Amino acid sequence: MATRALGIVALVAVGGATAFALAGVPADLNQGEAQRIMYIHVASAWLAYLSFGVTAAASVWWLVRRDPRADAVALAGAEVGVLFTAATIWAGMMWGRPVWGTYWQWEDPRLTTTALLLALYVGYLLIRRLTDEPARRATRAAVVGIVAAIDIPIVHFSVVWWRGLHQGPTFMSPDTILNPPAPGQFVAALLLMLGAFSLAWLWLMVNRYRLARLDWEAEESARRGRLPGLAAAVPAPRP
Amino acid sequence: MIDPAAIGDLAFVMAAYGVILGGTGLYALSLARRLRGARPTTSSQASDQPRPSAPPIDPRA
Repeated sequence: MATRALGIVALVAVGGATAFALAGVPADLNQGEAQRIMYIHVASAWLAYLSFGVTAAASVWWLVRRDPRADAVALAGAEVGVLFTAATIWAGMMWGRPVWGTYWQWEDPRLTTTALLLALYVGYLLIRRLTDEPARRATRAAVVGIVAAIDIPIVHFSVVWWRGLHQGPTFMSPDTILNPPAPGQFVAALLLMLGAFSLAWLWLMVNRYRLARLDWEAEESARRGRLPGLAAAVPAPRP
Repeated sequence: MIDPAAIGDLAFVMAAYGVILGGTGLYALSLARRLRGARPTTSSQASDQPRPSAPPIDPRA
């Protein structure tokens, strides 16, 4: 019931934020209408980072505690993260064509490291399909989930460390957040989109987590059904 | 082949928002459908399992 209410609130919030971003704020003086893509691009990027951060934290949690809930959280983060990373890249391409004159440039560090991030987590999801044994699958995925997270700070700071087409980071220091150089309306539209997308992200995460838990339980009960009496026949491994 | 230069900036804005919101909506719908489908399967599998035997009756009771 609470999840349904969250879904409705998220839907209304995303609708409102989109309407405000498209019609409530003026077009940018330099970039014109194309600048409106920034609101959905930055919101998607922020949630991609958050998703993969959650996956990395849940992966550590799995390796330490072997808790099936940790694996479900990690899977939810990776799948939702792939969705928002793809959204980030798509929005960036749609913004890049009218502003830079090109959809994509492989020489740009931010673009290339983001494409690598997407590939890493698609790989994470594929690795999960290599085995049916839940615990082994969770362990392999956890290692990949932690190693892949190394790319998150590289993506974020790539615009600081190397020169490319992409502009500097939107969120860099507390001073920039508290005293943004952009007009108030633009900041309000961005914050509204960030809030609305975060609600949608939460709904997706909760439901993907639930699905992962149900799948785990179904797999475990199917395994027990396939191997009747196994637990009694095979001695328990020594701790 | 449409020349991208001929497309106005607004078309790129609509393409960005349309694909992202549409894609996220489709993913949310598929997630809700998979959840609805997973529940009966899990409960039916659980019901297929042999039930644990009843505890022994306490003769003092």
